[in-house]
Amino acid sequence: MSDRRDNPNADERPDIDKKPTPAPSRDTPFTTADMPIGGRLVGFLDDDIAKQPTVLRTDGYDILVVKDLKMHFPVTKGLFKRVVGHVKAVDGVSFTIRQGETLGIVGESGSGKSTVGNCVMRNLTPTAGQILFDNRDVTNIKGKELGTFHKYLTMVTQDPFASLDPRMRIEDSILEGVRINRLVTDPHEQADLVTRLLVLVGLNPKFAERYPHEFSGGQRQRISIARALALNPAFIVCDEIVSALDVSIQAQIVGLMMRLQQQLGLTYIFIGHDLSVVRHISNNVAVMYLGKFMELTSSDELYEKPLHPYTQALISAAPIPKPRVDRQRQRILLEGEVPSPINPPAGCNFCTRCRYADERCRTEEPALRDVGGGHMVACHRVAEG
Amino acid sequence: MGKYLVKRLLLLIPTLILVCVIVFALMRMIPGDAVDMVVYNYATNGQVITRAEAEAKLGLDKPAVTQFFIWFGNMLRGDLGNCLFRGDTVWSVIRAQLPISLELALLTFLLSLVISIPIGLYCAAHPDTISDGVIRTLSVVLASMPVFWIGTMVLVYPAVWWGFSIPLTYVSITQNFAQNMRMFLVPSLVAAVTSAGMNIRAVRTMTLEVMRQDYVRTGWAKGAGEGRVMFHHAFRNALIPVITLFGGSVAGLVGGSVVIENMFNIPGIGQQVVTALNNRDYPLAQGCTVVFAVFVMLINLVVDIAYKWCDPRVSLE
Amino acid sequence: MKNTEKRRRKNAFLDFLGTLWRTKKVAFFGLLVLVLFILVAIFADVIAPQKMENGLLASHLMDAAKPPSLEHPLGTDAMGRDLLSYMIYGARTSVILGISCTILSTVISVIIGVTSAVIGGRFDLYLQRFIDAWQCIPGMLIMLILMSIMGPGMVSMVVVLSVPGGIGGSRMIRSAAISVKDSGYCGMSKMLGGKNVWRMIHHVIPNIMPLVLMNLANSLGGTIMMESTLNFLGFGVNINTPSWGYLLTSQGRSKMYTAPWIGLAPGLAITIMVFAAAMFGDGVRDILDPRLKGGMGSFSRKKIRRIAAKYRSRKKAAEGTNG
Repeated sequence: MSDRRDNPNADERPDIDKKPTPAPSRDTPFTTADMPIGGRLVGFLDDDIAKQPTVLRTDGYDILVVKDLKMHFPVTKGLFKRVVGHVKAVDGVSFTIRQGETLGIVGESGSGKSTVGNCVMRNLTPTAGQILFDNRDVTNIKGKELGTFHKYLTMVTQDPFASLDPRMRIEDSILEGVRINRLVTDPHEQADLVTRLLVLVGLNPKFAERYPHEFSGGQRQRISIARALALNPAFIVCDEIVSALDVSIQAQIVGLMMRLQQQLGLTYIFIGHDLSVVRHISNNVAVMYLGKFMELTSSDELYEKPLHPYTQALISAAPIPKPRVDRQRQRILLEGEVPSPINPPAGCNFCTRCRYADERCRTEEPALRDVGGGHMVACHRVAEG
Repeated sequence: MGKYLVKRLLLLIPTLILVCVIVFALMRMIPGDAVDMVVYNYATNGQVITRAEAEAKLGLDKPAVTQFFIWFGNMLRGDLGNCLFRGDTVWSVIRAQLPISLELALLTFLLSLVISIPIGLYCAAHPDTISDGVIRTLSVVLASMPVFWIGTMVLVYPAVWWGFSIPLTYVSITQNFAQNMRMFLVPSLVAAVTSAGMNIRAVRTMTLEVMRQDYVRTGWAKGAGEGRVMFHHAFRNALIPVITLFGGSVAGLVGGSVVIENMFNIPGIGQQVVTALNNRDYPLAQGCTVVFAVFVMLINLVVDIAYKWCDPRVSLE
Repeated sequence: MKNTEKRRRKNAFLDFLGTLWRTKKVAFFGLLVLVLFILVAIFADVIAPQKMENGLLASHLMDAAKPPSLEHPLGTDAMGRDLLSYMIYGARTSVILGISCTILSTVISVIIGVTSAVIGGRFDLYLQRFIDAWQCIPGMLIMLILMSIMGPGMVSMVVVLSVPGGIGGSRMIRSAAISVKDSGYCGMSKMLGGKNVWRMIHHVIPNIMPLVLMNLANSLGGTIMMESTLNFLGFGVNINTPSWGYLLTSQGRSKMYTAPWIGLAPGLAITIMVFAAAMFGDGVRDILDPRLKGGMGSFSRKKIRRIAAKYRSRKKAAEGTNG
């Protein structure tokens, strides 16, 4: 396929079921010295990375391991804030991402995909579960350690109009993290860094002096990306970064993200609701529904051989850019509403809208398990097939 | 609505306690020793008491926190203590003067409404015309004039020219309505006119703001008449900010009554507070301030309820 | 680099003046009047015909309550002091107190509002409860009580005119600061390691600056008014310090008929100054927050009527051709 990513590791598709690479557990706090990726900022930017792509160390070890992540928000009622229930935004999600690869998470709004991103970013402290970043437990870190953590793991968010301070010049926005953490203090070096970062994300370095309102959504998103890159992170959580953009711009931004991944050896979690966009950039895609992964496999496999009824419905809903084919295909229409995450169905979360649902689906919760070749599905019916 | 009401009423309790703490703390900070004054007071009556006795009489021998709780507890029972100079209890003084201040405030409030809402609506209906400009400029001029200056002129010139003067003794409204109005109409009119200056502009701005909304445009577009659009679409929606505005102006009104009462020599609480502060009569000043604060709290309650009634979306954070 | 920044700032100020001149002539004149009063206050010693000696304007009881003449352009007061000189020195009290207290109270508002918004949580809750209660006590009474605590004088006037207003004004600042704090860029700044103070200085305060300036321009008139009111009630500056409000209460009232110029001059001065401040404040608000402007924007009633009429005539025409 011509639109597949041109990754040097493209042929080594990861096997999801492969056990995480064992590494010596280090419970020492984060320090800037012992991170595996990249050098420190200034030295790293000495090469003109825009011209000479530098592939950093990509030995494909498990950089992020998430085990049984749960994020429940209490629902309170009445004068004394009695807790009457929990919104189970994320309810038991496990995955592993290898360095230099991308995990896509798709799902409709309210499925908890952004909550997963925010938990990984540790903007939220999960109710239960474990998050291991570079083999360190980051589930409960806070304060200084969290600050150090955020130098290696940054985020780009959805709304390009809200994410840039309208009263800050582009330069200042990009340099904010660098200034907060006092990574580069010399004004000339700072200016140099901004120029390099702007070139890196495909913008004119002269834009540094301007204000956000002078830019379009796509350009702003590029600026947001430059800001995320300023700290020289190893990992970026992309939370619906193209959802607010025009389709043509979406392609550009996705292309940019893919180029950056190659040049800088980045690892992504790419959250989105558009399956075709997510598939384009991801090595593996997880389909989320009501706080749980329904299916998790390599993106091609997911697209060509979707096993879960929900995934099938999602794929059938995506338009095919060939009208004749598009007209002939069969669409699976989902009926009914997404159940409330406060009170999810007893068995399979999807059973209320699934056309294959039987008695077992309504009572017994299916586990996410390997049905062959690293294809993970949470469905009772697939097991037989 | 019922739930909202209960919540809102429960919120009054901590607010009242905090108000009392603030007033109590501020009063304690006023210099000038009340003990000396009590000793001096007794001495003028031919009695000799020691400072310790005077302290005990005032309850000042106990720690400040205890004093506060004694005062607060007594207050809940309706006992605000005794005046230091007048022989009465604070409550009896306030009870005698509260109706006067309330009448003045109410009259001012109503007059201010009657003046500013129609004029404000007129301006909103004819924006950027000459009459609108004149009214707006005049309203700013009115708001810029010190109320005590207008008051002084109103007091002096009619008296000299027409021999009109405001009666000095208070007659209750039930006893003699004409005499009562003779006393209150001019002061409240002066207060209302100066506060109307701001309110006219606010009513105009808020109505215009609402008139820019899509639903009002729809009103015009579907061919509704001017009156219908103004009242049915625009004013009812503008009512919410207007209620907030007038509710908020009540605290200012009460503060303004201090000036008005002093100027027109109306024996209300506002005048009493100034006298009490000048005489260092703490219990009286304290009592008056708390009564004023409770009044403002109740008005805020009414405003909040009206607000909720107008806009069902409102909820307490 | 610093130079360009400086130039930019200066340009912004000049730009602002230019906009004021082009779009809001009245506001510009308001500003001019304010500047004039400030100049009078600053150069009082130079301008005043009768100079202050040892912080006092000497009284000449022989010339008491003389009507305006060439020698005394505004007449003399009941103690025979030149009224013009008294007014000029009085401007010092009103203008200096008015402007400094307005700035101070805005600064207090910003500090309280922004801290409360950014720190949030329990701190915010308790602080807001306190301010709720504080707001229930009429401001006038608080000022009188504070004046009683600190006694008459310039310093206590500064405190009294700025602290209660500052606490009251913090509400508006807080709500604006909360909306900035909840914005994407502030969250991102937090993620990048920005502490509360960093976010306050670099995001929250710059973004609420228009509101702060508006607040500043709009509360100037009120502060001047309050200053003279306190002086009028006898809770103001020292009685030897010339003050417009005090002149009104001490002499203006009793001489209102026999020597009206004594009451007229301070009243007019206050009115002009407050009016100028109000005009300036309005202009600033219109420029900084066009949403609140008096105009009706692009959907004026006239325009809509025109569109409606067009629609109707077209419909009629269509019916005509059909029928």
